Amino acid sequence: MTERQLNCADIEPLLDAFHDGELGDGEKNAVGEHLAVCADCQERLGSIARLVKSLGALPTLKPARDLAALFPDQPEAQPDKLAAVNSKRPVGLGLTGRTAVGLAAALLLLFLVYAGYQESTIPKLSSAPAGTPNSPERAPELTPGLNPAATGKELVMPATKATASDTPALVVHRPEQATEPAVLEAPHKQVERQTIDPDRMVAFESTSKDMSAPGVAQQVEFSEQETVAVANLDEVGRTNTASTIGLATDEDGLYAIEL
Amino acid sequence: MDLSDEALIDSFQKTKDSNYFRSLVRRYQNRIYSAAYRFLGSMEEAEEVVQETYIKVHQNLDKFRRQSSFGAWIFRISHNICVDSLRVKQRRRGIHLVSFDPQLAPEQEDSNDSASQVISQLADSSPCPAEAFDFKEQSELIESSLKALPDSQRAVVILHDLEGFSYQEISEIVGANLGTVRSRLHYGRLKLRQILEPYFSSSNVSPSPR
Repeated sequence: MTERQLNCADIEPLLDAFHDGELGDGEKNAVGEHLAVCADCQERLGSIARLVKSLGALPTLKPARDLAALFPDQPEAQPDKLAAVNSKRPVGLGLTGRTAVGLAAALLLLFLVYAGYQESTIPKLSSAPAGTPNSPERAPELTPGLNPAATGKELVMPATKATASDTPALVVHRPEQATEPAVLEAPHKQVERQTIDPDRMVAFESTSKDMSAPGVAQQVEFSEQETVAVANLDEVGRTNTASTIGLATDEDGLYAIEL
Repeated sequence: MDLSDEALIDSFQKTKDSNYFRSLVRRYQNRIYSAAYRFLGSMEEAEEVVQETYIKVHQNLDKFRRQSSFGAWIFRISHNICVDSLRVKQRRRGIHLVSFDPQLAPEQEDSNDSASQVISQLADSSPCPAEAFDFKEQSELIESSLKALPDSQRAVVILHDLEGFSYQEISEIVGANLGTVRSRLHYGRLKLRQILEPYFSSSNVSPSPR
């Protein structure tokens, strides 16, 4: 009895390979001889066979799209195509040259415009320590109501603790319509401008509860094609005649503004 | 007449005609997608794996030495991408990959993952095997049972029992020796049998206790 149990314990780990025809001659013969006299191991082998059959019956699945389309006819067009595929990934340090130059230029321009705007409308801030405007520890904390009469708007800077890792919420809003988002921004490595349907913005606002500037700033787009979106409220007559100014930044220091 | 994988590769490299490469893509994309989906459990991630696999294949086709089949080579690429993806996901969750050595302590490994818990949950449900166990339910049950396996065992079971690779090819794909492949397949199947045995009405034999 003891000898038979040992044999079963020795044989059982080999049963799968025996079933698959992956044993050498010596092991195969040993397992075959054991199976001839052991009903339990025969049943185990049958159980393995049923399992393998069930697994093999699982259907082959299909992706949602034919990925062969990634490879167009012209061989020389393929790198661009593949680069386009790669560009869907989050942009980090691996920016391609053209994108990096464009972003740097946009950053510089927007920073200059932003700095000029601050100097002209918020003289109080000129004494603030120099530094990157979106740096959490350097970001000036503007208080609501800071010279709203001059522009009809007020700047709301992200709170220091909220900018460290969160998406920043640097916006402009009208005091008289504090709950309506005027400028919408999103994390952006690739800057592009879109006109957003205000209805959509309002709908989004109603679902956002934890913004760093509640009731003032709202993020709209979190798509992979990260965007800076500026609402054109004038088009739909939902704002006064004052120009809409939108500022947006993220932790990479990118700015967008519309005057 | 369908060209072999190697013939398609030769033709593509000679002519640069993308039709040949697209034929390769279409030949394997469903299999790679299926395996990746069953390994990762996410359709979106599986599609990304397929896409990334073909980009790497396209960029490295000249490095294919033909020492193994093209199928094994492309599955090795996709398997590596799957493992990387899994690592990233587990790192985000704060979970570390568990090494698996069945010859040393399979029970210890079991205690480190949720497989045992899932098995016991499934086993405790006490289904009536003969009732309403149609093919679709069976497929769903098997799919969910696969998720209960440790990653290393699941990969080998998928590659052998679903994709039909030999032990030698699996050894090349996952980068483990033949003995390890055999052990992983054995323990993976054993676990699946423990989960699924109650559902197979024709069976009244349970796997031997370990």
